[in-house]
Amino acid sequence: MFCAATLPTFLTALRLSGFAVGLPERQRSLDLLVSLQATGTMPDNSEQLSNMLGAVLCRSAQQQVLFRREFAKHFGTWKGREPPHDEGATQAEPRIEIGAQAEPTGDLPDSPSPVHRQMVVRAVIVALLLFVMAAILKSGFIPRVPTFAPPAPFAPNSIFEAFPDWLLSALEGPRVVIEAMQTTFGPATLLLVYVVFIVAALWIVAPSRPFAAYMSRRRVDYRPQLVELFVKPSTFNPFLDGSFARRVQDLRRPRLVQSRELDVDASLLATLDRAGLFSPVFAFRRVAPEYLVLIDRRSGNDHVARYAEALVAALLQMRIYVDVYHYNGDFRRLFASPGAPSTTFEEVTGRHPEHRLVIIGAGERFFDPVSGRLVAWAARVKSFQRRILLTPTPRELWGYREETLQEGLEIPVVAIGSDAISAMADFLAKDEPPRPQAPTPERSTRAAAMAKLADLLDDRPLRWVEDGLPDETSLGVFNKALRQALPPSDYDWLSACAVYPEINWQLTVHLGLALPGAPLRRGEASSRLLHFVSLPWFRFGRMPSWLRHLLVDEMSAAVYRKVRNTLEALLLTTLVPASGKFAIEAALERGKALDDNKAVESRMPRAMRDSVLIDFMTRLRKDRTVVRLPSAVARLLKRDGLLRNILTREPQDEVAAGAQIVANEVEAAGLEAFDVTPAEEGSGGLGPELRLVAQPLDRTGASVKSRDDFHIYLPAGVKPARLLDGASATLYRRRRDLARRLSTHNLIVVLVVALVLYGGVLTTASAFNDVNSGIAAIIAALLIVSPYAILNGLLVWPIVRRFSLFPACRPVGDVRPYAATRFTIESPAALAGRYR
Amino acid sequence: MAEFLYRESPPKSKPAPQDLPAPLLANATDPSGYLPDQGMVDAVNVALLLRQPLLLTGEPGTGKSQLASSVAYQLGLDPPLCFETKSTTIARDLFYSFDNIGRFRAAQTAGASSDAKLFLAFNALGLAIVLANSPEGAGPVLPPDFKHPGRRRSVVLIDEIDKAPRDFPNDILNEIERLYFRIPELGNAQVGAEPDHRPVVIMTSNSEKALPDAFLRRCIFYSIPFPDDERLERIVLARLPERLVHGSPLMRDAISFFGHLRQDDLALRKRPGTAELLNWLAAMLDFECEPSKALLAQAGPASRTLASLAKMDEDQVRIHEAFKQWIYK
Repeated sequence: MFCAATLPTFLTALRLSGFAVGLPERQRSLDLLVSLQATGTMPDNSEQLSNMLGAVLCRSAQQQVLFRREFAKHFGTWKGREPPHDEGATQAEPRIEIGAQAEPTGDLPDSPSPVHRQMVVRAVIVALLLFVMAAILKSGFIPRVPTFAPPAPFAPNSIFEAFPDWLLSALEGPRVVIEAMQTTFGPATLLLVYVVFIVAALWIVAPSRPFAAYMSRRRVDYRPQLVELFVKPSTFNPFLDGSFARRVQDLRRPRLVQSRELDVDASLLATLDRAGLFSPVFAFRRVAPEYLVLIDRRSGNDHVARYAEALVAALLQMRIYVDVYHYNGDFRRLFASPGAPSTTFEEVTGRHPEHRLVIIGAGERFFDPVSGRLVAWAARVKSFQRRILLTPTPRELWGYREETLQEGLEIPVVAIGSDAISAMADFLAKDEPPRPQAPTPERSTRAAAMAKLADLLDDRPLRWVEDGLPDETSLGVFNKALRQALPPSDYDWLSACAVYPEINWQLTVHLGLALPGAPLRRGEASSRLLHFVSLPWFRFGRMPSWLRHLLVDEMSAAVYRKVRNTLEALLLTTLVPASGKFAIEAALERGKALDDNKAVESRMPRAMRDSVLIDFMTRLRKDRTVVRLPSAVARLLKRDGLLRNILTREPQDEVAAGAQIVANEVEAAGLEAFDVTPAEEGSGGLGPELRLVAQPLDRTGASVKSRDDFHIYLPAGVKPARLLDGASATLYRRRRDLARRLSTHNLIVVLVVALVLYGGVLTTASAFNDVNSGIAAIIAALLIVSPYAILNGLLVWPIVRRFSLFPACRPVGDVRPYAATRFTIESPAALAGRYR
Repeated sequence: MAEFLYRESPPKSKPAPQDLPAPLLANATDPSGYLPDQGMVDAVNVALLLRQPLLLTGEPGTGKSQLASSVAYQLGLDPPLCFETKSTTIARDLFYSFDNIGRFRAAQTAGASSDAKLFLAFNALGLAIVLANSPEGAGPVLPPDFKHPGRRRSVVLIDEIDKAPRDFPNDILNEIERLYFRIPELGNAQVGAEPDHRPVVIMTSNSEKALPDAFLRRCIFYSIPFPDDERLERIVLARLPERLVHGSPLMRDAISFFGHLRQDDLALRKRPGTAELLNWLAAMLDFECEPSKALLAQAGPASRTLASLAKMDEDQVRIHEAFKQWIYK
C-alpha cells in the first residue's frame, strides 16, 4: 500500500512551489488515501495516484501540469506494483531547472552521485590500462632494443636520476636492462608519451578541477541548453504603502443595482399609499464593483507593464475584483496572458459590460501618426461608463497627447504613481465623479533635461536599444542628456542594471533597494521607479552591449562591488527553499559552434541565439559586464559540463533519445529528402563524414520548416548514412575532435623526442632496424596509434554505435555518398534488402 | 448523389413540408458514448470518495457539461439537474425561487391561500437537497403540489459558474460544502441533505473569470486537457460509429488537418474544439464524402463543409487557406 509517511514532506514542497496547501488540503489528502485504502481501490500506478492527489491539491491547469512533474520527481513512477516505501522524501531542493534535452533537476552537491562512482571506476580502468601497457611494452620489447650512440650534446645520464625509484621499478623489471643510457629512446619516449596521456586522463577524471561559471550575453549559433535559476523575489510593491488599504476602500464599495426581486416592505408601503392598488417596488441589490484593466505591454519584459501589474497585485491583495488584459499599443487585440490567443475588445466588452475600465498606457498609438488626430477605434473606450487612463508618462512631459486623450475620449488622464489610487477612487467609484481637470505639465528644474532626453529617445526609438554603436557625436550628446535627466543615484541605478546581462524587473527592483542612496524605499509609493522604468531599455527589456559597457566601465569601484555583492546574494537564494520564486533564464554552453551556416541560425528561435550564456572557465574574467555565478550555484550545474559528457552514459542515452526525436519529427513533418551543403562548401570543421542539412523536403519536394538542425552522417565503408539531430552531431564532433587533438599531441611528442634524441626519424628507424625491424615498427606504431585507438574507443565509439538508431538515408541518384547533395530517407525494408 | 433540401435555385412552387434527414450526431448527448480521459475518471472518483463538488475547466468542446450525464448514467441515477448560470444569478437562485408578486396578488384576492410554500419553486441544487431527504423529512418546506418521488441521490450540474457575478461563489461557500440552504420566506427554515444521499455536484467553468481561492479550496479540481489524436479518434468513433471505422482514411486525415488548425502559428481567433471536429466529419459524411478515401481525393466536397470549423469570419478565410495549403502540400 502507499506509504503516507512521505506525504507531509511532499505537501511542504508543493507549498514552497506556490500551491495553496493548508491544513484542509493536508487533511483532505489523507482522507483520500484512507478512503482509497478502505475501499481497496488504491491505484497500482503512479499516474492514477498523481491524478487523484492532483485533483485535491490543484487550483488551475498550470498547477495540474506542475503537480504531475513534482509528483514524479518526489515519488518516482511505477506501474503495476507498489510505490517504493523506503525512499526518504527529498527535502525541498534548490530550484534549478534544466530545460530542453536534459533531465529536470541536478543532485545536491553532497548527495551520492552516479557520476562520482563511474568516475572512480573509469579512473581505475584508465590507470590499469596505462600500467599494463607500459609493463608489456617495457618487459616485452624494450630490453631487446640495442644500444646506440646518442647525439653528442645530449647528456642522458641525468634522465633516470630525475625519476623516483618506485616509478622505475614499476615500469620495468631488472634495472640492469637500462643501465646503458644509450637505450633511453624506448623508455624515455614511452614515459613522455604516457605523461601526456596520464595528464590528459587525470584532467578528465579530476573531481574538483578548478573552474568558475560566468554569465554573459552572447550570440550562439547552436542550440543551447536552457536552465532556470529560481531566486527569491523582492516583496517590494511600489503601491503597498501604509495608507494603501485606506485609499482602496472606496474602490471596494459595493454599488447598487436594481434586481428582479420585489422589495416587500417598499411594495407594501407603496400599495398602502395607493389605497390598496398593487404597486410593486423592485429591490436593489449590492454588487461588488469589478474593474477591467488593460495594460500596454511593449515586450515580454516591459517594466512599465510590470509596474502596472504591481498595481493590479496590490488591488487583488485588497480583494478588489480585477480582470486584466494586455495589448501592444492597439487595444483592439487583447491578450489575457502572454502566449494566449488574442481576444477582441468587443468580446471583452460583452463579457464584462458592467466593469469599470482602467487603461494603463501612454496611448501613443491612439493617434494617427500622419494627422496627429485620434484614431476612430480609440473612441470604443466610451462603451464603458466609468473609465480612466493611467499614463506612465511623467507629468513633466505631458502635453498635446494627454490633453487630446482627455477631451477626445472623455477619459480622465492621471499619472500612474502614488496619486493613481485616489484618482481611481474619485473617477470610478464615487457616485458623482469630479470633472477631470485639464492635464497640465508639472514644472520642475529637471523638466527641460527630461524633455531633451525624451526628444532624443523618441526621435529614433529603436536607435538606442539596437546593438550597433552610435557615432561618437551622437553618443556624446546622448550621454550628456542621460546624465542631466537622471539624478546621480538613478544614473548609478541604471549602471547597476547594466551589470547583469539581462534586464529583469526583479533585478531592477533589487538593485534599486540595495544601492547606496537607495533610489527605492520600502513603504513609499514611488513615482521615481516609474520614471526610471519608462526609459526605453526597460520598456523593450534589453540593453545593447555598447551601452552596458559605457555605463559599467564608468562605475566607481565601490558601487560596482556593491552591485556584484547584491547580485551574488540574490543568485545564492537559489539554494534556499522558498515559495514564489522567480526564474532567471540562462543557457548552458552545449559545445562549440557547428558552423557559420545561416540556415542553422535562421531556424533557431531568436531568443536562443542571443542568450545569457553560462560558461564554465578556468581563467578569470576581467570584463565587468560578465557576472560570475556563485560557486555553490555553479556546482549544481557542473554535472552538465565536461565531466558528465565524458564519463557517464547520459550523453549516450541522450543520443538514443535524439534518435527517437528525429524519427518522430521525420514522421510528423513527412520529411522525405534533405538537401545538404556540398562537401567543399561551408563544412566549418564538420569533417568529411558530417554534412549539414540545408533544407529538409517533404514527399512533394517542397521545403519544410523544421524545429531542429539536421546533419547527415556518412560512415566509412558500405554502411548507410544516418540522419542526425544537431545535438548528437555536436556531441560526436566534440568527442572526435578531443580524441584527435590528444592523439596529434602524442604524435608530436613522439616525433620531437625522436628528433631530439636521435637527430631524426630516419636515424631512429635505422636504430630499430639493427635488431628487429618488425618489432621496432610495431613499437613505433603502438606508441603513435594506441592513444588514438584508446581515446576513440572510450569517447567516440559509444556515440557512433548509437547512430544506427537514427533513420537511414541514401544519396539521391547514382552518386557516391561523399559527393551527393541530396539524400532521401531509406525505409527499413529497403535497407534490409540492400545490406542482406 | 442525393440532392440537398436547400438549393441555389428555389423551386417554382412551394413544395410540401419536407422531413429533415436523421442527424448523424443524434447520439451526441447519449452518456453511454461519453469517453472521459483517465485524469477525469480519477478526479470524479476522488470527488465521489471525498463527497466534494467537482470543478471542471477546459476549452469549450472538451465535454465538461456532458460529464454530469455520464456520471449520473454510470451511478444509475436520474439525468442530472442542471443549473445554467447567468450574469444576474444570485446565491438563492441555485436553491429556490420565490414568487413574491404571486403572493402579493394572492394576499389581495379574497379566499386565495397565501401560504408561502405555494409560491416556492426549487431549483437544481435545492431540489437535489430536498430529494436527498425523505418526504416526511422535507415535508415542512414542500409546496402542497410537490410530488416527492422518494429519497434519492441526484447529480447536479452547475454550468459555467464563471458567468455569475463575483459574489456568487463567495455566497455559496458553506452551502456547497455542507449542502444545506435556508428559506427566509418560510421563517428561515433550513433544509439539509441527508449524509447518505448527498447530491453529487459538478461545476464547469470556462475560466473567463478567476474564481475566489476560498471557493476553489472547497472543490476537487480538474482541467481537461485537449485530447490527443488517438483519443480524438476514439471520440469520433464513439459518436459516429455507424459511418466510420478505425483507421478510416477520411477520419485520419480530418484529425490531422484539425491538429494543424489548432497550431499556434495559424493564429485562429477561435480554435476549433472536439465538437467542431465532430460536426465537420458529420457534415462531410452528409456531403457524401467516402470514409474509405483520403481527404485529398475528396477535397472539393470537403472544402464546402469547412464552415463548420469556423466561428468567426476572419477564421473562415484562414481555415480555407490552410485547407488549400494542407491538401496540396
